[in-house]
Amino acid sequence: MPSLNPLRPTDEFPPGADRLPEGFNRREFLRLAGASAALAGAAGCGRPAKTLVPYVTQPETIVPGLPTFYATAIPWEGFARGVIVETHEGRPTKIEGNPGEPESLGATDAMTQASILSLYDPERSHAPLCAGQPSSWAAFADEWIERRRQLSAAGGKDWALLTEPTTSPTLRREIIRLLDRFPSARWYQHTALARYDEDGAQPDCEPERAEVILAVESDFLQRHPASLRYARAFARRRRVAAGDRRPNRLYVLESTFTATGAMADHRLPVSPARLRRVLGAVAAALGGEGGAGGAADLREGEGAFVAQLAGDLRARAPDVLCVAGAEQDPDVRRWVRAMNERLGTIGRTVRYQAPVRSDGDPRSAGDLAALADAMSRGEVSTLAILGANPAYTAPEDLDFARRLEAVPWSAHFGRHRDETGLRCRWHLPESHYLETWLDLRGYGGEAVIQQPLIDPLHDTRGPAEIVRLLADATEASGYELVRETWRGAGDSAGFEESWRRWLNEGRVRDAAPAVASLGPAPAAVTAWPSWDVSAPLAAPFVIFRPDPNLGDGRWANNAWLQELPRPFSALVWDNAIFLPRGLAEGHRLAEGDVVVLRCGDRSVRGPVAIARGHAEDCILVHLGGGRTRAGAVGDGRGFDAYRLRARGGLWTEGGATLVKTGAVHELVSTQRHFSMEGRDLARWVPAAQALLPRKTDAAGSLYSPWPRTGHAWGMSIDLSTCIGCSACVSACQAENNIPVVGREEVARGREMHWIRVDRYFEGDEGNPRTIAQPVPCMHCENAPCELVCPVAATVHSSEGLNQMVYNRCVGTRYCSNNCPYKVRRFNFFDFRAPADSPVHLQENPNVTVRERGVMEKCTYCVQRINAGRIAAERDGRPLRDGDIRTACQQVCPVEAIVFGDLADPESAVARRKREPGDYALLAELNTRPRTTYLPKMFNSGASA
Amino acid sequence: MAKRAASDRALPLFGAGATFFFRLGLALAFCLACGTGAAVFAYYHSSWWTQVGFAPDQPVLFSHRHHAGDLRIDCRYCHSSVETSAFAGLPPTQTCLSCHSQIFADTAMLRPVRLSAERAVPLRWNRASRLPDHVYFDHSIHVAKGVGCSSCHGDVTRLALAAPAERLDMRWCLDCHRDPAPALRPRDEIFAATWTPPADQDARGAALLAARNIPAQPLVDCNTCHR
Amino acid sequence: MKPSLPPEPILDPALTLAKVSVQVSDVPLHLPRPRVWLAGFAAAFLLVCALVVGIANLFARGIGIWGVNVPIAWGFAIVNFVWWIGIGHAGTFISAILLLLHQAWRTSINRFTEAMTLFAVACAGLFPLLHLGRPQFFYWLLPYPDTMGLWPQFRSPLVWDVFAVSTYAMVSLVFWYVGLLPDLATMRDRAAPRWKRQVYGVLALGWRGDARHWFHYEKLYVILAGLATPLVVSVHSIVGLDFAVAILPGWHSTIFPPYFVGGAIFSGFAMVLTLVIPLRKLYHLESFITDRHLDLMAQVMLATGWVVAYGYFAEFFTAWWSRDEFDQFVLANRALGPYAVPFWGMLAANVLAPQFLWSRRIRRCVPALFAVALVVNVGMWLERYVIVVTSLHRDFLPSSWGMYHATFWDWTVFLGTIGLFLALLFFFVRLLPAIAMSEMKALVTKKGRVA
Repeated sequence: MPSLNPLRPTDEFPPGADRLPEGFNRREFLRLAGASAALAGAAGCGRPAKTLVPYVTQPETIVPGLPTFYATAIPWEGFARGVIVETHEGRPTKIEGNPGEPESLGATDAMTQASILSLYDPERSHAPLCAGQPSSWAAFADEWIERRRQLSAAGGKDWALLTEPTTSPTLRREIIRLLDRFPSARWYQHTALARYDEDGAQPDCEPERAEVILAVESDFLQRHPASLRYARAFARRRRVAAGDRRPNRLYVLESTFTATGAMADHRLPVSPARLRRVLGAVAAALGGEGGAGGAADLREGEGAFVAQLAGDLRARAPDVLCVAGAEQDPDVRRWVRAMNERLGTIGRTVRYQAPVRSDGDPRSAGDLAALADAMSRGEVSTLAILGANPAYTAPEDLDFARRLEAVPWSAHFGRHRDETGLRCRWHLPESHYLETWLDLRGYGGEAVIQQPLIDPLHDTRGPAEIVRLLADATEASGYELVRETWRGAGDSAGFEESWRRWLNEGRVRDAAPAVASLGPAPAAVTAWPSWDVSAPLAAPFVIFRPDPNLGDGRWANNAWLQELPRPFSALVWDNAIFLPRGLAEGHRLAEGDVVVLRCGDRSVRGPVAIARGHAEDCILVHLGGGRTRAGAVGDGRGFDAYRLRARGGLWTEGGATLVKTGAVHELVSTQRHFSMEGRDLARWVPAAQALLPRKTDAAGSLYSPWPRTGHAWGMSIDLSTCIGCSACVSACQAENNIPVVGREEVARGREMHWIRVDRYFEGDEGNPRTIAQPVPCMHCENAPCELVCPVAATVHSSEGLNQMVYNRCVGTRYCSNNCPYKVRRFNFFDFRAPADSPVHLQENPNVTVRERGVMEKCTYCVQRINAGRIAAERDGRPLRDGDIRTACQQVCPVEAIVFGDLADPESAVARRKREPGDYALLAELNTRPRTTYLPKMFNSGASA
Repeated sequence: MAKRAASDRALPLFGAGATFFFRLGLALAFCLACGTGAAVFAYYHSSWWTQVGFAPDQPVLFSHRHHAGDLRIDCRYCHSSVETSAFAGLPPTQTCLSCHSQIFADTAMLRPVRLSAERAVPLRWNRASRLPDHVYFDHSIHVAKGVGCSSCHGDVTRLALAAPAERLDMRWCLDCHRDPAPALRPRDEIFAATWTPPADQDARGAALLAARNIPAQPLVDCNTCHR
Repeated sequence: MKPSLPPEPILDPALTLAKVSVQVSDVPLHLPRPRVWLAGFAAAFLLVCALVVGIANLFARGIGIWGVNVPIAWGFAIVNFVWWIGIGHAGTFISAILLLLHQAWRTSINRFTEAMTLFAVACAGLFPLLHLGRPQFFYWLLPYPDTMGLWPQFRSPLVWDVFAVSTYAMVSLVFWYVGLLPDLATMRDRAAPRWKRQVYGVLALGWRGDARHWFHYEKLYVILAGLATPLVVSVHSIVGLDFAVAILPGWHSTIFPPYFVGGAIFSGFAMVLTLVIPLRKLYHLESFITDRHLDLMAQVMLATGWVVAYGYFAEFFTAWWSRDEFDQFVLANRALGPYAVPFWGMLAANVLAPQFLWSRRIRRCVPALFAVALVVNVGMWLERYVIVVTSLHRDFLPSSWGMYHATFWDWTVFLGTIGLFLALLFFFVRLLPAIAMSEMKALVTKKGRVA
């Protein structure tokens, strides 16, 4: 399927070909992979590989030197996101979105990009451990049989299974099967993060249809199972110059900055206390009985906001959309749903459908709190924990870790022997999702078969296999379990045929509709639900949010994500207590001061960071830091915010106190200045003027323009749609073998990312206007770096690339000094992973691994340019626009980055550069960058 | 003491030949300096460094002369991905056995091959033609554009054991990338090991250059080979 | 300036030809006050050991042990390089230009300052090599027929540097050695043990001082002076171009070449004074290097000090005049930003301190003069620090602004080169005549007229 394999169409999928060739054990794999890596030249500068190691029996799907692509899915908080994974000689190296899958649409987020690194994490559990001693699955099975005999003697009484909520039909079937076998066994579910169902329904929306959007504490552009789909749809309405449609308008009510808030045309920072009043006022302004509040006691600012919002909503209804954050308490979400009903958006821009994830499953005995209570009542003598890490993620007041230790017999299935595994009798290694047969559903309900790219590197099992093992105490292959689930679903073509197609396309297109839409609620609801505008909590408030990179902490041992700059703060390798300046000054706190943050009897100790755009009295802490058993990378990074969390207030706490300790902790970020200093760097343009022609920056030159023979590569980045999610940074890291340098080196200003996302704030610090600007190498036609290199290590190509030849570089670093964009990166030390590290298996064999003392920078993914060109030339066809896509372009959920051939006037990039707003960064230096920008359109003002 | 010093000062400080030897020394020092430079230069341009004509040992005494020469087996039978991939491909053990399960099946010479098949342990060949890791050479495009095997690997039908036929250093690559025409061949002769340029190669090469629209400039861009 | 007859003799009138040979050559032949020498040399040698350790660690672990980063990719290494090169200039200026200008007074100090030049250039030469990411490939900056078919990129000022500095070192060495020949012969004749005489004899290349020798010698010496003269200007102009060629605000300035040359001579004379004042005290050379010499050198410092001051002014003026927001920001940032201290220190040391030299009393007061010279040495180092670091740390995009902090190893290598410089000087005064005896004698004979 060409859609599936942009580079090389695989013919039909041979069953089981995902398995490595027979007579091919893991050690063999590593050896061959190593050798083939050497063949392909991943070993970097230095002496070439001496020996050539051919296969004994060459698998038919593998052509040495050519990548192979397979479609599968990554679980995002349990929900499927379709991906296509690139493998070289059997080793997965790069993850891309699956254009044919509705939740991905070809894009991915930063975590997905980085998840490939976790596959090769040297600290993953390799084999079962019993009481910390090496053991085996067989030994576990024996003990489990014995244990079960005792249990079934007690009618399976008081044994519990704790899993994360799942969307997998197979896993759910296996769990139900297990529950049926053990009638009184209990199934609990735990997620430290949000539930996406409310009142037994799951809201899903279509932002592309909405003219006006109101987001209430909702980061639906980045932090949502469907964020890729939403962001794409939202962005489609922001590209005014391209589309014929009017731009949409985004109103955001939030306490702390989110990617969504940063895109808002009108943003109002509201503390949890004010939020209810403001919402009440909005409701009142929309008319209808019931509710409360009214425009009374609104502060100025709030009043204007509400008035304009209500006006726009009424004017554009029903083509409007109101979304509430999944973290909000049921009141707020019910209220927002009522707004949708009132505005008649149900079934138009919003649908409420049956939940896809198993949170509310009738067979489930409840959540972690329920389990904890059962444990405290001594009803749990046997506990099997699958995937979750409750000992770390449980709210502090559940005191789960201690209760877990009290459980007589417990088993933990997970990728690491983490905080939970440490406290269980058994720790059994779980497979990485790229090693697992399973099936998952996307937020929209469509299923994807999750097929493994590689045999498990270690002695691990997939979740379905584990549950089956618990049920029958016998091993079963995940492959068969998944096929069993879908055997019925095949269409006329028959199961095998459909199965092949599902795997190949990466979606179960013609499966029976997964969830029946609940349909529109009764329209024209006139009454508002009862509503108490008075604040339930007292200031100052603590806002809990998942770490933008580490989620609930599961990615803590992933060095790429630790070193990926957090949005708004550019913080790396750490987390902080984010305060608005007012609050900080009130407590005489400066950036880096270590404080004790206390809520009731719970407290955490962490460094303070001054945050912009916070509502008054709102303290933001990120979950996921302060791991103690994540591994060498993740242990002790930041503080553990879960210790401040109570079952009562999972997302918001009131009445917090801050106590200065006097200690100081240096916070490390990749960006230290967030003001443009009045310079013309990242541009804003009002929607009205977005289409007006603007005077060109191009100053006249005495020099003749760069001669354009053949292709002329160029890039255009649209700031109107960029949400600053940093997926491009992560994708670039995965594609270009970019090393991780660690906290200390970043502190010295030596981060290696080839593309960075600059963040600028303007105006009132309490509610600033902000803009994200991705900055890769500009590939200047008059490149200052080229002029000053004494050894011609960086020179211009005939197609306009600013080439960097690592092996010619002697490392004077003059080029970096002379680069006005400071996009060049230098290997101050040998940043490569140790020679024996499995991490090398992830490396892209088509990109040199740089050694100590050489300069490097963005190449426009020249390896992809060459591959595309060679493929085209080999087949004797011209290069088509879109044949070559850079890693940052391919990953971008909002299509902000477009790369292509400027010599082809019809190419997407050429068309974008013809748009009126097109401008070059620092054009006055006459560097003539090939990378140019489109200004950020904002649609504030009177009426949409 | 003083006397001794006086007498000491009486005799000349240096012998008669001192000046001559001093000048000789200077001359030698000069020659040494120049000679070292010349020697270094010569070494890196010699086959001691480039290994041209030096065949490394191999686990199996495989003879290209016999297989490609006498038996006329096509290059692609073993190097099967040469037309599709950057890497020409080395035959998996099974390829050897496709003939040698019948012929010379039990000779001592082929014992490593049999063992490899039985124990599923790959053969480990020693590289003859070496490029540094920072060079990204792509066989498929060279073949597609009409550069024959022997242009770089020489006439393998003359070699018992594989050995580099050319310097394979950067200037050697550039010589051809700056002026590919002399190396271009018609499709059917690409795998002809004994190909020699016809008298009118200039004309033919130029024609092929145009026909296969081989762009001049990109061939000498750094990124063509280095990434 | 024309050779004007000074109101007072350059040398101590009591000086006779014999005295010259004896006093000067006694220093190396039987070293007076050996303990002082040993102590000084030991101190310097310790620093040299530190240098060796610093370099070893640098090669073992990489350039990262220094404080450099992105955006400040150049740090101490380049600062020190420019500083040392500048110091070297006084030597060439004194021996070559003052010779061509018939400044008789140069004779007392030219030998010593030429030695100083050589050693300063040696120290300077270390840094461009050390600061490379891959020093093992330094030779790629030289044009030679390689197997890659590649040549250096001649548009880069760094390549010009290679030629400028190596030429400079070469010419200075030859000039110094040729000047030494007659004195080596004197040493040969005055040395006691036979082996010493033989060593000096070989080095003297059989100088017998007959008319033919003197005839060729004088010619060659003037020719070399003629060769060296343009180098005084060229070398530091090119070092200035290292910065001026870049587009970086704070570097991209046409004033740099002349202003660097002025600064070089300024710092050079400061260093000469810093070294000569203790030297003449230690070995009682007051009759050769009289207070008048110090006075004259102070005057040169005053003059070149104003060249530097003008350079500062010109930078500010052009920034203001050009209305270039980036240029203006860089200068404002220098004065008020995080690196204001080095900036104001630089102004105080290089612009204010020299003004004391207007007063003849201070010029004649040796301790005061010594103090000013020291201050200027520091000031000129700060100037290079300000130029390199403050321009880089906040350039065009605020998002990529950074800070530079020198590390322990930065200081180790810097102080190490100072140790190397001093150690070489100690060897020099221990083994060779620090004052050009032959030229001095010529001066003594002329003394009658001079007086």
